[in-house]
Amino acid sequence: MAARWAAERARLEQALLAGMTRGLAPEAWRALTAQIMTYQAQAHPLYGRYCRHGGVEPGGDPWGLPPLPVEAFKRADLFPHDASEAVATFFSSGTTAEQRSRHVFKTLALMDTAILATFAPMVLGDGAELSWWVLTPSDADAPHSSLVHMFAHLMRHHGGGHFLVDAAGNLDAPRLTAALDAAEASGRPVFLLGPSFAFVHFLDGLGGRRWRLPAGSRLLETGGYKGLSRQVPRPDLHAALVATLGLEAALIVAEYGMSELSSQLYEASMALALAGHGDLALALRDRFVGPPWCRFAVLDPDSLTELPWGEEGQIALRDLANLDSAAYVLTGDLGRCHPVPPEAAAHLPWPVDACLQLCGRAGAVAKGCSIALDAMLSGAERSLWM
Amino acid sequence: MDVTGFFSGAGWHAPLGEAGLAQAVQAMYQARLALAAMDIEARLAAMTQLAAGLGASDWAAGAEACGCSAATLAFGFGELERCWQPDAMRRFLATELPQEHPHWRPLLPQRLAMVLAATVPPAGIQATMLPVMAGVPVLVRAAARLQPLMRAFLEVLARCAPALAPAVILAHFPSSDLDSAAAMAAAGDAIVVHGSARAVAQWQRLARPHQIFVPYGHRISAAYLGADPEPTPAILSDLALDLCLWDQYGCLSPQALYLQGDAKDAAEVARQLAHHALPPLEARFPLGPLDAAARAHRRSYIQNALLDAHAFTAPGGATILAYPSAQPLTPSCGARVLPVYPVADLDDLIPHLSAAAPHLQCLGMAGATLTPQRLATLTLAGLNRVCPLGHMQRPPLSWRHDGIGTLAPLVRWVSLA
Repeated sequence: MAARWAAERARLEQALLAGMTRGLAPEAWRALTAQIMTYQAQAHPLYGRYCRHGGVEPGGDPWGLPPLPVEAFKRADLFPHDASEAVATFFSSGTTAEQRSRHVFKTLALMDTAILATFAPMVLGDGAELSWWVLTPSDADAPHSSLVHMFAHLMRHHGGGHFLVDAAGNLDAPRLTAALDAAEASGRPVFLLGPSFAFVHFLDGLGGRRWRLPAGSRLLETGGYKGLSRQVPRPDLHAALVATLGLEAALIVAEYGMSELSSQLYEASMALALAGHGDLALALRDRFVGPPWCRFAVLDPDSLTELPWGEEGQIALRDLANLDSAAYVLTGDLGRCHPVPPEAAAHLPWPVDACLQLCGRAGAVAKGCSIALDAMLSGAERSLWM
Repeated sequence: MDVTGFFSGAGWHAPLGEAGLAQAVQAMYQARLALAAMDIEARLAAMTQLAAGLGASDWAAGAEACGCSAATLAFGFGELERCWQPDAMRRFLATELPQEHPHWRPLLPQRLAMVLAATVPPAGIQATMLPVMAGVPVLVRAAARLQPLMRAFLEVLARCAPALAPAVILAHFPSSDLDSAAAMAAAGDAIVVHGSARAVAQWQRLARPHQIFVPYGHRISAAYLGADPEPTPAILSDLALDLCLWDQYGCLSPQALYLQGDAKDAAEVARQLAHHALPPLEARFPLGPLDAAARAHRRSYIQNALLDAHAFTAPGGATILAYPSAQPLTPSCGARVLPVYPVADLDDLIPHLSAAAPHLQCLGMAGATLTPQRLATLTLAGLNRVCPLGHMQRPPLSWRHDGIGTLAPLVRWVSLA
């Protein structure tokens, strides 16, 4: 990367770190977004070429630059620096290297700052002291998982905790049940964190055991199922967790993140519940909000223009912490934007006017007899029984 | 229609289950006797009348449900009318059921269970009716999206070919109803499944050892433009037709175009396709409805292609992606999105197509011919049809579907010593 762009990158990183820690007002976000988009269009060769192929000049209006599809993260040349400058690479889950996204980082400063600055206000707003139990392998055993990195980083900053899955992927269920027993006996609240499928496995293996966890206990679940367990709709999973663990429903939070992002969105409900606004929390179940440097938009898939609130479209995110990959990302997820009621917005950690509802995944239903790509790659096709 | 049951000439019966199964089997038994009592020429005449009725019917409602335009569906039924001519059907029967051998006689099943999980609608109807023409009654289960069309088809069948109507029984049950699926599978002495590998595997588990099981899985096709002659507007128009019919969701739809030339040639052909060849065909055959998930899938595919390719978009939305170099054949996202890859020559093409093994189905060509050696190489990848551009989606009755045929795989042979 030319010296001019290296200096610009360093300047943007500092500006962003300052915004993450001191706050990022909407005007400042707009200015920083424009600068980062312009920088990436001109200094990141792959993104610049992508813009030109789409008929957009990299040096033009930064708000006219297109979102990069998450599929682009499967390519090694997305990282604009020399490979030797990478400090970490996170892979998406997947069955073959070809199908997995890889997110390469020149520094983890932005990601780590984003993790801490979002998580605490959204999930730990009451300042409770919790015993952390994480249903994933440790970062030593899974160094290329961005989710595990996030959990490890959070635990380092919030007093430690325990990983409950070994390197082979086996959940230490006896240890977890013992921890739940101990919490029930001691009255010290626990914090359970993990991917959705891990909680399904745990629930399926309990044989009817139940707990009444201490007040303030909470749970964070994230991610899809990826064929790793039976699929359970999110409301059903949350209901089962409430019934089994005796958790307060408002203290179960879902996270929306992916290896292609550096920042995370959270269900707004827990922050509101922790602030003592249970009624508002109920209204914002399944509604996600992100930090000021990671804003979402719901786009018309045909035109890539923003849809009016309430209409279903393709989710795009401007995650400025993706400084060394792509700040404007087109996901494979469908969603709807909704307004956040002003009375709820007033109790959220940042000024927020919109929240995101997840509506499913992009994908073509088999209309005919043409084979689908993933079927050809994996040998099994997606379409269901009929 | 949400009830579980089956529909025959006598109306709906519910549930399918054990009692319904007995009724369906009884109805098929009666239908088989009735078909056997018909002279083959009478059956051929009924098929021709049916084809004419299908060609003349209004398919707007069925098209909406199965996700294609009414014009495309009408074209497909027009193709059935073109194919189902007495001479062509006689040749088809002679090819697939040769009766002349002194020592062997073909024996067809007495009852057929037909699963249309995912297929192009007229192909599903042809797959249903050819066994009936040969004297075999069929119990059909169609995917939910095909159900309205199949109901409409049965009405046309009853009106235009009443003698054949009792031989087609339409089963209906939700995909979660495994008991009905098992009952349906047991109703035939042969099971035919048109669908994904997963659907095929699920029905195969229900097949019993004595049953013939014939799977038609999902497959992939491609187009090739050679340089002798150079692509003309007429050739590109033919390719555009192949792309537009069934919105690229058929196993005979081109998923990629390879052309002899370089990156500049690929871009020029892409431009001509998008700006000249496609617009009139898009006007004639509008793209079928796509839901948000399918539109997002299509958008992601196109945007991802822009990392390497230039996009040329036709007025109706068809998108041609000109790549600087060739890639192995993989499925497009469908809905008329066609990658164009330059290759040096046919020898350069072969490995790109072979990458799709064993799913390769058809190669549409212009401006070149395959040598027997190259053809032999591609047949190892599954190729079973080579045709001119403009004909990819219009296979003649004589095409042996998936390389195995329609009736031939159902046959048991009787040896006469």
